[in-house]
Amino acid sequence: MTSDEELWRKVCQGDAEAFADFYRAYASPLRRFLHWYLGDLQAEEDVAQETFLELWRSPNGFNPARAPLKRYIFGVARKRAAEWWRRHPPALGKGAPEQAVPACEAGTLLASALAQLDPEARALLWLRQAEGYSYIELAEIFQIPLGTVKSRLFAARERLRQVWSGGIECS
Amino acid sequence: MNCQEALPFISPLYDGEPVPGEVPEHVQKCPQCRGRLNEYAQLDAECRLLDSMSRREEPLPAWLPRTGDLRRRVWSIVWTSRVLVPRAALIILLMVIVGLSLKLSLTRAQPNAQRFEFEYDLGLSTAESDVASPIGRGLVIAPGHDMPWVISYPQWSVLAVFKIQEIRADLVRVSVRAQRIQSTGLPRRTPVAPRVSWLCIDTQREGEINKLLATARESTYLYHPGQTLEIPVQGGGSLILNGRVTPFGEPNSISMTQTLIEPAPGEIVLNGPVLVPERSLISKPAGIAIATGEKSCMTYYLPHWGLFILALHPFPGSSEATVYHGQMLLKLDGKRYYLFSASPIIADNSGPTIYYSLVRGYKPSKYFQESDSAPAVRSEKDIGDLMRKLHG
Repeated sequence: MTSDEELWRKVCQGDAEAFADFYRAYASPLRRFLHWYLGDLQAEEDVAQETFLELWRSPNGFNPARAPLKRYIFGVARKRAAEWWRRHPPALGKGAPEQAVPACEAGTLLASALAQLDPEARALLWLRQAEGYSYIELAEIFQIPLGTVKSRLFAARERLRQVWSGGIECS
Repeated sequence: MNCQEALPFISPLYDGEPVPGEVPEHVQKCPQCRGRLNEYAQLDAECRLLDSMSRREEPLPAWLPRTGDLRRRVWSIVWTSRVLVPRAALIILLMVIVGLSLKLSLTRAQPNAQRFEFEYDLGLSTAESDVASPIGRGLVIAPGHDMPWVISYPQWSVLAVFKIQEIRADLVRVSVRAQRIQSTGLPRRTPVAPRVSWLCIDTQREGEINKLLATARESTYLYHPGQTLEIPVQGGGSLILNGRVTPFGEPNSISMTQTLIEPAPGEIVLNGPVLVPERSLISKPAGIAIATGEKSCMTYYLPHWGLFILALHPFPGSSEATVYHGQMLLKLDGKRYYLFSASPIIADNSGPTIYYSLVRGYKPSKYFQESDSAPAVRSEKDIGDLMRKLHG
C-alpha cells in the first residue's frame, strides 16, 4: 500500500492526526498555488480552508488508484478557485497577486512580471515551474486538453519573457 | 525548419515533452533559439527562487480536532456506556444470532463464491534478455482446471501449467509445473517481432505441453492473497506471482491488457487499441502488432468502421494525427476521436505526428481470411503493396 493510500485510509476513518499530517504537508504548496491563481490574500485563505474542510468532511471522493493525493487536492482547489473567479470577475487592473515579499528584494521583479499574466496562465506556469507537474498532470488539474496546456504555457512564457526583458521598475 | 516554426516547440522542448525531431536539430544550430531556451531556463530558476522565498509552515486550522480522533471518541462512548436491556430481549437477540450463524455457515459452504485473479511475470535480468518482459494474467472462477501457459523468447521458452486447487478469502492452494526449455521444436505461434516475447494460454496444445513438461516436478504452494510468490522454474529463473481473491460478480481488478513494450525509432506499435469518441468506448481492445521498416505501416480493423492505416510518413489520402505516448488524436467527419493503446505508439524521438486514413467498408475476410466481427491489428511490410491490394 502506498503512503498516500495509507494516509487517506486513516483520514477516511476520521483520524484527525493523519489529517493534520496531510495538512502540514500540503497546506503551504496549496496556498502558494492559490496565491498566484487568485491574487487576493483573503480569497486564497478562504479557498484553501474551504478545500481542506471539504476533504475532511467528505474524504471519499479521493481514489488513490486514479491520481496521487497531491494532484487530487490541486484539482479540487483549482475548481474552487475557478468558482471564486466566476463570482468575482476580474476588473481592469485587478487580479494581480498582492506582494508576498518586500518591494525591490530578490524575486519582486519576477513577481511583478507574473502579475501581468492572466490568473489561469500564472497558476499553470507556477505549477509547471515551481511544482514540476507534467503537461498531462496539468491537463488533468485544469481539465483542459493537452494541446491547450502546451499553447498556454508557451504564451505565458513568452509574455513573461517580454515583461521580464522589458525591465520592470520596482515600486 | 525556421525559427518561426520552431518557436512554439521550444517551451515543450524545455519541459522535456515530445517535440518533432527537427526542433532540437534546429535549436542546436540556431543561436537565437538557443538564447530563447536559456531565457526560459533563467525564468524557471527565478520562479523556483521566488517559490522557496514564500514557503512557510501553515498553522493547523481551528476546525480540525486537536487531540486524538473525534469520531473514534464518539464511538468509544457508544461502545463502553452502560444501557439497561430486558432479559426477554436478550433471549430473542441470542436466538437471532444462532439463527444467523447457521444461515451463514450454509452460505459459506457454497462452492465458487470467490474467484482468484492473478498476474505473473518472469524474474528476468536485462543481461538475460533484451526483449520486453511479458506479464501474464489469469482469472480462475472454478478451481480444478489446468491452465497451460507458454512464454516464448527467440532462443528459449518457459512452459508452465497452473492448477488452482482451492480458493479461500485468505488462502489459495496452487500447484505449478514450470520448465525452461530451448525454443526449438516448441509448439508456438510466431512472435509479433523478433525482440518481443509471445505469451499465451494455449489450451489447444495442452497435450503437447504436458508431454514436454513430463519430467517437470509439480510443487504445491499455499499462497496468501496480496503477497508475492516466487515460483522456481526448472532449468533456471522464476515466475513471480501476485494475485487477489475477490467476490464473484465484481469487475476484474487486474487489467487484461497485453505485454507492454517500448517502440524503437521508426516503429509503430498498437497494443490493445480502442477507439474513443467523446469518452464512450467503440470497441473491445484488439491484439498487438509492431510495424517495423521504412515502407511499413500498421493496420487496425474495426468492425462496422473499416480499416485504419497508420504510417510514419504521408501516403496518398492520409491525414495528420497527433500522438502523445499511448494516445492518438484524429479527426473523422469533422469529429475528434482518440485511439488509445496500452503502451506508447511511437518512439519518443519520432515526433508527435503520425499519418492515417480509414478505408471504409473494408472486410478482412476478403483479403486475409480473418473474422469480420472482431477488431484486429496487423503490420504490413510495404504500404504500397497494401494500397494496391485495397484499391486495385
